[in-house]
Amino acid sequence: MRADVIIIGGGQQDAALATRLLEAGKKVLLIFEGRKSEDRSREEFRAKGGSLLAGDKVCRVDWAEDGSRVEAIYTEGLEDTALRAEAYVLCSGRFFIRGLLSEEDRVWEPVFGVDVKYLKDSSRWCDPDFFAPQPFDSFGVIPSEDCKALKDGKEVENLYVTGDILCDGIDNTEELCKRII
Amino acid sequence: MQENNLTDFQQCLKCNICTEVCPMMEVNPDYPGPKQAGPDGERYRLKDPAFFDKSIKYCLNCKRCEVACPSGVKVGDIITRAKLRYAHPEHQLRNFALSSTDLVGGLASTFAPVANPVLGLPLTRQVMDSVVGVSSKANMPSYAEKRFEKWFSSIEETQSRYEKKVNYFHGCYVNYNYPELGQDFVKLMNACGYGVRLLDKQKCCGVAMIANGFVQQAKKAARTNLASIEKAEGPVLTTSSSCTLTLREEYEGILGQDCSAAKEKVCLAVKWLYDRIDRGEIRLAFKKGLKIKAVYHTPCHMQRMGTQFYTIELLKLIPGLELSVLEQKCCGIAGTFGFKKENYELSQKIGASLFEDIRASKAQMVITDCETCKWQIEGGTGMKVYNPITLLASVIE
Repeated sequence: MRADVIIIGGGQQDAALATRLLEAGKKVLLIFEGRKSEDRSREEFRAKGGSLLAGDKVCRVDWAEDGSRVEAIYTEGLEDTALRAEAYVLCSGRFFIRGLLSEEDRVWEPVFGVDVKYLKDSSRWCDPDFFAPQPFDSFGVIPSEDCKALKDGKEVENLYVTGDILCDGIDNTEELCKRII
Repeated sequence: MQENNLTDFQQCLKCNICTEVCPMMEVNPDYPGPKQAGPDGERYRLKDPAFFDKSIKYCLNCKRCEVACPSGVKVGDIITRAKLRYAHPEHQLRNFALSSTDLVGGLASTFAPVANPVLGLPLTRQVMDSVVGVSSKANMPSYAEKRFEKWFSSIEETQSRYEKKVNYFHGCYVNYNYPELGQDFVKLMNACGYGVRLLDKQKCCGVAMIANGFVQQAKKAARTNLASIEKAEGPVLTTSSSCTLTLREEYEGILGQDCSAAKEKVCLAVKWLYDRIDRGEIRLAFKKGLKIKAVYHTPCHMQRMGTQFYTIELLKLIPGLELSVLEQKCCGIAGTFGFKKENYELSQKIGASLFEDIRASKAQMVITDCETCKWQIEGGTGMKVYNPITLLASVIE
């Protein structure tokens, strides 16, 4: 399929963003893994004619040869069906929904492997004082000024990133909508 | 049966999202819910089978819990395997009759001119209700006078003339109850320039046998089907969502069979068609001046596979079709579940909200990929329900 925008969702704001882009006349596909497919905002998106892939997972990405663009993505459920779009938006949430993954000494974003900000020294990830702000809360994907994701420090031309997956609680929704719409 | 995959249920974080999406939980306080019946219960059952709680029989195997699980736990599979391993069979005769679709379908379609009116008689329904345990209120499907396979043998010659061919796994519903769907499939494939071939030998996929605890019979059917699929040249297309899920996933997840051939070849016709249209290999010419208002109901198993995407995108191609996609809700039938006397009321309660949505839509027809959803929705709303293949076949030139 060829959409205008494919949102790799899972994060809190995925459907609200999808609906907003849909209402601006874009052809939008929202993919998300797990979580309630009955979320009201997702149902609103579905009812307005948006395409939804609930409980599915992106398992492969076709990159341009020089790695500057995403050419297509594939999901576990749709197997060999290439999903193409002008713009991809990564809005896949944080650790619980597996938008971000972690091991003892690293934190990474599993779909595109884009750059993530975190502390190298894992002994400093948590503050022993439970009620103190937790350092891991500020980990996340680093957006460029154009709201795009970075891979090895270089901006990916057609991959935007937004929502709670971002580091330091950044909210770039308005900026991102302006750029895509 | 497949051995327990210990790492699977241990991925459960106890978040209870599965409990929230379970359609049975909403209507039946006796059901402990997918978390407790699945991963939680499994811990106890592994310790001592005496912990088996028979109320897990209420699980519909709709797999909405698996779609919702953020940790990828196959909750439905865990529950089904536990049912098969520990449950004491009840209502054996009735369950055998309901799940032996080849046997019963074969008999009933042979004697269809007599069987249909007799099965429809109030007296017969009363006897079936009180003696056999099949609800007299359930919307029973009727049987075809001419089986699909028989019809197909009369046109086989025309199909062999096509250079390119696809195989068709029609399933028992098309063969015994609704051969029209198989005929529509052949018409659509022919319009795309493909001939249709049937498999060497095909049995019921076994979904009902699995649900009713007849593991050995299900395995036998699985082996026959898998052997035919392996032998088949090219793709094996299907028109039923539950058959597809069973062939591609349940044979492995529940019956422990190697279904790599099925994974490679078995494909819903809507996916096969969509992919070819998307790649520009096939172009459908639609009739002009169409004006249809329809709603699409996503069957739970379709959502589990994610393949409703193909049906919806294909339907969007039809000019003049005003389509709205209904909120995904379980219709409540769950294969043979809703036909059983003791389950009928529950099954209707689960479906009630979907029926309401459909009535409120003021659509002319409902489109869905599952035959049992079709019966349930037709019974619950009185509206006509069609498979997307039927609709596509009727709107192409």
